Amino acid sequence: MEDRKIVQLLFARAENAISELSARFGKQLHRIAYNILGNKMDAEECTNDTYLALWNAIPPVSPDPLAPYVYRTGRNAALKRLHRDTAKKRDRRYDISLEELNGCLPGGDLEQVIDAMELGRAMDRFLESKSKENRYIFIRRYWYGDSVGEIAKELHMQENAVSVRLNRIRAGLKEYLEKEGYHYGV
Amino acid sequence: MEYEEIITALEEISDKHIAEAEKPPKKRAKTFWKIAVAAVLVIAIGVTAMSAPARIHADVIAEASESRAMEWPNPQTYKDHDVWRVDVDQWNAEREARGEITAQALSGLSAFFREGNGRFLQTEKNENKLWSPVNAYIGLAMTTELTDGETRQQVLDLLGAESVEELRKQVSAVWESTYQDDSNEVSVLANSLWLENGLQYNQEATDALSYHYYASVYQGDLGSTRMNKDIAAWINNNTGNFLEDSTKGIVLSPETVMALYSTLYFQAKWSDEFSESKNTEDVFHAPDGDVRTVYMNKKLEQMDYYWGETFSAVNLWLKNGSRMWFILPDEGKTVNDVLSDGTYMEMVLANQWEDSKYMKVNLSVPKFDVASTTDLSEGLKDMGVTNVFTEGAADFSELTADSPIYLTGANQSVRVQIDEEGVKAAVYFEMKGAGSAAPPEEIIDFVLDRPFLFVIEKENVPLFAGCVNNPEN
Repeated sequence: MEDRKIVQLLFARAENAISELSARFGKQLHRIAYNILGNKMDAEECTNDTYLALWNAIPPVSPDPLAPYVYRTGRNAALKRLHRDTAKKRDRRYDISLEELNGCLPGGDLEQVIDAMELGRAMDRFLESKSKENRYIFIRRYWYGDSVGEIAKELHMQENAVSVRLNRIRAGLKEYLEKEGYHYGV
Repeated sequence: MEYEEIITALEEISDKHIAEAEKPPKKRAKTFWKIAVAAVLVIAIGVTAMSAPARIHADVIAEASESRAMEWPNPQTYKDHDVWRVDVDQWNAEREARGEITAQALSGLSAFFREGNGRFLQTEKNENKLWSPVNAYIGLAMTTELTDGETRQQVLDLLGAESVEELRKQVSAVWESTYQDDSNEVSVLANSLWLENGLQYNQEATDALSYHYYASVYQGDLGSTRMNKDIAAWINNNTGNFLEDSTKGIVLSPETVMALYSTLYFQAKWSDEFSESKNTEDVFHAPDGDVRTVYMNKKLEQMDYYWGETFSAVNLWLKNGSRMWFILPDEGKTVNDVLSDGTYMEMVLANQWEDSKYMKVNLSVPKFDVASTTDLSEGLKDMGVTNVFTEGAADFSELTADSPIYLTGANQSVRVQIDEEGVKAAVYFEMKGAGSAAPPEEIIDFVLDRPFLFVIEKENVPLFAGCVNNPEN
C-alpha cells in the first residue's frame, strides 16, 4: 500500500491501519530496534510500542514523507528503552557503531544541544556530496545500526571492502568538519 | 563526544537520506548473476534439510503439550485494532511474569549449576567434557512427578524448589523463556517418558508430565530392537539428527521398565559472524601435547572484557539474544582451578560484573566440534540425590504401584559445534530404571590456545557448559 494511503487510514482511525503499517514498515522497524537493543523479544515489544506511538501521533501529525517519520519514531522508541534498561545485559553492537563514529567527530563535550544539532546538519551536508552507495553504507551503519556484515550482504560486497569504505568516509567526514571549523584538539 | 550528543547529531540526518537508505542502491546487471547462483544454492540446502521426521511406532499414551506462551501479536494478523492493543498488553504482562518466575527459579538453582559445573566438567584426562545444566534440571525435575516421600524431597532440595507445584511453574517458565523455533534460530527442549508394556501406571502422573513438562509418554516393549530404534528416532527428531553418532548406541536392557529422555537442540548465528578469510591455523596447547587447529579471528573487536581471580573472559552474542562465554584460565592456572573457584559462574549469571572493561580485543577462538557422554548419577548422589538411584529406597509410587523401580543411570550426551556462522549444540539426558588484576592495556589479545571453559546462556539460563581440552578430539 502507498504511504499516503496508510496516513489516510490512520486519519480515518481505520482498523487495518496498524496492520498496513506493519506490512509496510514492520521488517525495517524490527531491524532498527534489534540493532539498538540487541534482543529479539525487546525488539518485538519495542516495535509494537512504535505502532502505538504512530497511532497516537497521526493525526494530528500528517507526515510526508511517511517512511523517515516512522523510522525516527521507531529509533527513538528503541533509544528510550535502552536508556530505561541500562542495568540489563545486552548486545552492545550499537555502542560499537557509535564508538566507531565518535572517532571522527570533534573531541570534547559540545556545550549545548544546539551544537550537536548543527554538527548533525554539517554531517548531512557532507553526505550529500557522497555517492548513493557511500551514503547508504554510512547511514545504514550509524543511523539504522546495521553491522558491517549485514551491509556487505545487502550490497554483495566483501565485509573487508565495506570496512575500508567506512574508514574512508569517516576520514572524509573528519576532514570536512575541520574545514567547517570544528576542532579536534592535539 | 558523549553518546547522547552523537545521537542528537544523527537526528539531524535529513529525511531524504534516511528514506534513500531504506533499500540498497541498485547495482549493475552483473550482480544479478551472483543473486541467481545464490538462490539456487539456497534451494538445494532447503531440500536437504527438510527431511521428514522418523516415525515412532510405540503406543502414545500422552502427547506433549505445545508451548503455551502467547505468540507475539503481529499487527498484520489482526483486523480489530482494539483486540490487538489488548493482546499487546497481555503479551507484555505475560513476558514480565515469566521473567520474574524464571529469575526466582534461577536463584534457587545457582548452587546446582555451580556445583554441577565443578563435578561434571573437571577432568584429569585429555578429554573434552560437556554438560547441559538446564537439560539436567528439567530431566531431574520430571522425576518429582513420578516419585514421592524422601526420593522426591531430595530432588526438590537440589533444585531449590519448595514444592512440586512451585517446580512445575518454574520449569514451565524456564522452558518457555528458552523455547524458540523459527527458521534460523532454534532452541528447542523436548521431554519423553517410555514405559514397559503392561506396566500399570498412574494416569495423573503421565498427564502432569505431558502438561507441565511438555513431555510425550510412550509405551512398548522396552529393550526390544524396535523400541531402541524408536527412542533413537525420537531423540534424532528433536535434535535435528545432530546426535546421530550417540543415538546409534542406545540399547536398553530387557529389565528396563521405564526410561526418561530429555533433549535440548540449539542453533543460532553469531550477531557478528566470523569471516572465514581471517581464519588461521596455529598451535593449541592440549594437556598431552601441542596440536594444530583452525582459529577464527576478530581483530580489534570492541567488547566487554571480564576477569576474576583465576581467569579472564569475553562473550559473543548470538542473534537469538543468547551469549556464548569463553573463559580462559590465567597463565599457571588450570580449568580445574577455575571450576573449583566457581566465581566465573557468578559472572555468567550476574546482570553486571564489576571486574570488566569495554575495550578492543584481538580474539582468536578455535573452531571446534566436540562431544561427550557423562553419567551424572555419581555426581548427583554426591549432591544429595541418592534414593532415586538406590534399589529398595527409591519411591516411584506416584508412577506405579507395580514392581519397585530405581534408576540405574543418568547419562547425558552433548555435542557442541562452533564455526564462523554460529553455534549448534544438542544434548540428550537419559535416566533408566531398572584472579588477576585489571588489564593494563587498551588493546588485549584473547587467544584461546590452551584448555578453556565455555558457557552458552539464554536469558540467564545456562544451556550448555563445557571444558575444551583439545579442539581436535
